[in-house]
Amino acid sequence: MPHINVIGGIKMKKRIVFLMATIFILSFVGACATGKAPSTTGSKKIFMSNAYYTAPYCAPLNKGVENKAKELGYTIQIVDGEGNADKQLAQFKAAVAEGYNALIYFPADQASSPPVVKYLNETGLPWIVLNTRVDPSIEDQVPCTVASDEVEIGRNIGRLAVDYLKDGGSAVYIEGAAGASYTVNVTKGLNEILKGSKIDILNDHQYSDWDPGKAMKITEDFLTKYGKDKIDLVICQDGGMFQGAISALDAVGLKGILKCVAAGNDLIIKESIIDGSLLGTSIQDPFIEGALGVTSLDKLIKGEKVDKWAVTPGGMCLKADVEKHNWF
Amino acid sequence: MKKFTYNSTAIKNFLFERSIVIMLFIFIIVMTIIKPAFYGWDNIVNILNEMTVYGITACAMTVAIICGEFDLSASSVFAWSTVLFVSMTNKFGLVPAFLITIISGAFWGILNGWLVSKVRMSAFVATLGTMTIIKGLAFFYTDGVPINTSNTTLQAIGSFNIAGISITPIAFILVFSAFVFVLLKTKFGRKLYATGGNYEVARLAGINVTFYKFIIFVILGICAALSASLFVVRIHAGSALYGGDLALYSVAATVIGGTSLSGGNGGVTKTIVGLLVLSVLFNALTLLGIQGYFQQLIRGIVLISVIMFDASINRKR
Repeated sequence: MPHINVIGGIKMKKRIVFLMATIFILSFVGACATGKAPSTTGSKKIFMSNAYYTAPYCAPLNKGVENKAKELGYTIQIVDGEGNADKQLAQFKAAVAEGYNALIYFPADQASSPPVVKYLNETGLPWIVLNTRVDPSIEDQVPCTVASDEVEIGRNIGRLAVDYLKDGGSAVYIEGAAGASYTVNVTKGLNEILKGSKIDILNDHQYSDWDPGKAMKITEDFLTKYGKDKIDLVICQDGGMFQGAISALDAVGLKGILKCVAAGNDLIIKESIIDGSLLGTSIQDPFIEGALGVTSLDKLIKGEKVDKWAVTPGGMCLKADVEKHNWF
Repeated sequence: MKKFTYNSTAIKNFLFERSIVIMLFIFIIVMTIIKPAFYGWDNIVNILNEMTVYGITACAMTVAIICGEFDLSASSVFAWSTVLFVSMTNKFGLVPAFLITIISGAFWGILNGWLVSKVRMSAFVATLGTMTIIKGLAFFYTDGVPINTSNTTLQAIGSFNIAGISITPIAFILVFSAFVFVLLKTKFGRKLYATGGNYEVARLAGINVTFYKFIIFVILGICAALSASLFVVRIHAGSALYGGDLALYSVAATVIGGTSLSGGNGGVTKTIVGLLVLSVLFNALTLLGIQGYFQQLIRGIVLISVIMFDASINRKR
């Protein structure tokens, strides 16, 4: 009777598993190194740490950065800062060790930005802040901030609301991430316009962390808490939140009946302006913002003068203006 | 003449027991060849400084896992502690703030320990509940807004370094050494292993298993607060949103290092390997120029490969 070598079979399987795991890992490292290693023959390298890499707004923003960088002849790497300034600090240190020529910093929040700004200045490399402004106490230490006039965005949203509810009414308001400069400043601008108006914001701060799913849940809770008849307007800070809000309204048959105002250049915003469920938007084009960031950094790299604050073009967009803008 | 005996079984056992270390070593060698910047002193220091903030809590999580438990609320304790440490520093100064923060961490640990050991709730459910409570408290306390401090002593401590090594790795070495000593050289450590290895047998052997199930959460709470304090020393800010990945990171480091989730074995020396795997991988992906989306994908694949390989080796043995 033939002897079946079970032990030998197990040993062979162990060796195969070992070999496979090692080859797997090495091939990944090798492929990554071959595919992504920046050129050493002259192309300058830009490194960007984006604290909100996975937020809907940041996908076209990253694209805007990448496209402009390639157009200007730079190699670009964008990494996820995961909302953690300590992680972003470590990423920048790794980038400097790797020899990157210029840096883009998209902060997680204002409060934790000072140590990162301090380090970036210590590197001696050209760098900018993109989208989210740093702590006001150290803003003068930033060579260039490329960001929207967030307060003006808030004012635009407020103007849309006041124009719609001329005789007053009740609104609910969904905000972004607590502590983010965009959230704080948009709310500031909104409150400036609503002060003295007859519009009443029913809720206290409700943060959706830029997540459409959370925004949807918040809207559903508002409808339950205040009642569908008590709310006259839904105000959203960006397109992601609007997407969540409109989904909640659609689910209860209120889409187009209970109006909204928002900010952003999302496709759903465009469609909603056209179909009338969204009154208008305050423009914040992430493609343009990303591209402007790289253009400003390019000037710094070349030693040219840049403004301390390069304002991302904005303004209001109503139904008649829809075709004039980029949507994503 | 004495014959030299080549014991291949002993060598194989030695290698299999250290399979993760060997894979890490191979990975480091490959990275050193591909990216000379990887083994530069600045980069090594960068890895050390970054990994040791969470590393302290990872050591405590290892102790909890050895005892057969784990703590989901570690992330929330971390977040709350950053907020408390910053606000108390602004009000009372650095030393009182530190003491208050550590006591607060111990308090949350006592709550978790009481729920698990006395009320006999499962650790998953109990710490899931406290995770939500503590995070909510942190949001309520700050109204959701991150806060920072310009305390000059704190900033000076944050800037302190010896050849680039900040205070964080130094604190980690002290905490790690204490854990190693306690786990390996004391009755406390032995009883901890016994409790995690077989709860009933340990109880019947006269070990106060309730106490051990309780104390591990207190240790975790204190360590999460300590990690948070060191984080604030580096970043000078606190927020209810910080440390969201701490609990999972600590468990991952523990498991990758080779400590079994079923309890009764493992150790913090193995967790250091897990921490290195995570930190080196994270650093390597940045140095290799990998874009953000791919980094997440690759990190997940490599981690599964490492754990799968190790589990396969140990199962067959």
